[in-house]
Amino acid sequence: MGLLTGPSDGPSPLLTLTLVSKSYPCAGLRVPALDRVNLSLGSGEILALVGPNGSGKTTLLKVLAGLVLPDSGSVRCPDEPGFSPGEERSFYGPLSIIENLRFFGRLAGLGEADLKRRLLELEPDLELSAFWSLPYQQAASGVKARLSVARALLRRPDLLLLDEPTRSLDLESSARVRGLLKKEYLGADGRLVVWSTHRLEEAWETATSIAVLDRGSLAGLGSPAELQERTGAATPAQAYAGLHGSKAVPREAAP
Amino acid sequence: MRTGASDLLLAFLRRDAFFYASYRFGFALDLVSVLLSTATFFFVARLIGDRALPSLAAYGGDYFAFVLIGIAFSACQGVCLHSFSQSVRKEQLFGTLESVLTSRVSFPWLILASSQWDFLYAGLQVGLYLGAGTLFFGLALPAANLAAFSLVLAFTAAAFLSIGLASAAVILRFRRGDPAAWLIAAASDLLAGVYFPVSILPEPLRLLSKLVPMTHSLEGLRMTLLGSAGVADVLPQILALAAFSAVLGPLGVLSLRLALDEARKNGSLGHY
Repeated sequence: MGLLTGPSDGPSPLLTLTLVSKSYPCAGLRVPALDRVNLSLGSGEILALVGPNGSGKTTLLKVLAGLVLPDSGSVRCPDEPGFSPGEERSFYGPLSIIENLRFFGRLAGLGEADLKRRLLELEPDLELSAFWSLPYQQAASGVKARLSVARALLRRPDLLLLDEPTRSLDLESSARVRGLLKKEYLGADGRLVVWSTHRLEEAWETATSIAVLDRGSLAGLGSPAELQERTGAATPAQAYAGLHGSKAVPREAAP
Repeated sequence: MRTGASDLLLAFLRRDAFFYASYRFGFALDLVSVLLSTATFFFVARLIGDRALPSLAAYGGDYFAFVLIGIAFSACQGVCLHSFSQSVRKEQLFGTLESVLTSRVSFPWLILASSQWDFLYAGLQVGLYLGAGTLFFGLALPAANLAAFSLVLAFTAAAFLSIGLASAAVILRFRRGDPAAWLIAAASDLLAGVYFPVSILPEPLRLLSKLVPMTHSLEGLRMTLLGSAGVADVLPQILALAAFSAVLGPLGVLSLRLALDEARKNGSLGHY
């Protein structure tokens, strides 16, 4: 189950995971989170990770971000990825939105002028400027989610890692964020996105490849069309259910 | 677009200035606290009068000056011991540790840059103690040797920051207070001569006091500020502090590296 290989087995993939396994200690036992995952992706791809809670999506993203060390296997991917974590609690609550952006922008090597230029580029899709002076802790979930995406995109990283970036977004905002990902990464030389989501329709609409994770293993991997063809499914939800090997379909995807 | 060291330091300083600005009342409280304790020890010194003179001869004989330097730099020691661990804890509680570590900032830089506000504030506190003592209570340091004082202070900081690294490792690993740093801080009050000279302690405690870095630090600081001692006079204190740094520094770096690896293995960097 975990030995599927990605669709971009070209001569020089940008991202390669080879037999990556990870387990966490819990009450004296090891709880598996990733089980011998093989993955290979090339430039300009957008990979969507789908799977139920606890299937290993966040662990996979954190392994790629260098925040979690795998127990075994090897990881090769661009250095210094942009990372948008799944938790809201990843900014300084008392600071305003713009001060948070200034702080993380400076850490990313952006001076004031570069930061402003970049924020102007992102503004049509992320619409943050109206909230710049608002303390982060008072911002709505949707603003926080867009801010997290903005931070990850500030320095146009070669590898963009997003953990459920559209979870708190309304449909329109979500479409804009996904449009932004396509605009900046789809087909881009030397750059790619790995993105986790429970929204299957969004994954099918946006990603060039979909990885279905099930209890840490890759249950399916391929382009949206390939996955539907392989499972004979008419809809993403049916394809997901067929690959996942259970009837458990994420709530957001249920017809 | 690589972040320069000065840019990084400025970014953290600016961030912490905003935090501080949201709690200005804290500064007023600290100021009142400094004034109250300075006044308290001024009157304790008047009570003691010349009776302490023989024990304090090496420091100019004035108990008020002796104890004020003790409490001012004892507070400074506390900052050096705990600032690294508190910086890590702050990032854990905000949930920003992972975000900062994925934005090109190495862990040692993170704790250093994140602690600089505390160091500046500690310097300000020392200035407040000595300033209040001078302005309101007649403290005078006419014989201070500032060059030798600065050297002792630098070696003091190195010794305590070495312990601070290990303390940060404990916080990273267990997300709870570090008993070793707490013990050192508590033992310093009794053994290091913060409130009274070490020479009045019984022999066993006096020997034990040699194992506390603060003992050598306060001795050197007082000799240079009150006794006009030069670098050669405080060489034993400087060498003792250097020895602490030489032993504790590598241990601190190693323990921090191990704690970081452990957190990445357990996936606990984001835990709080």
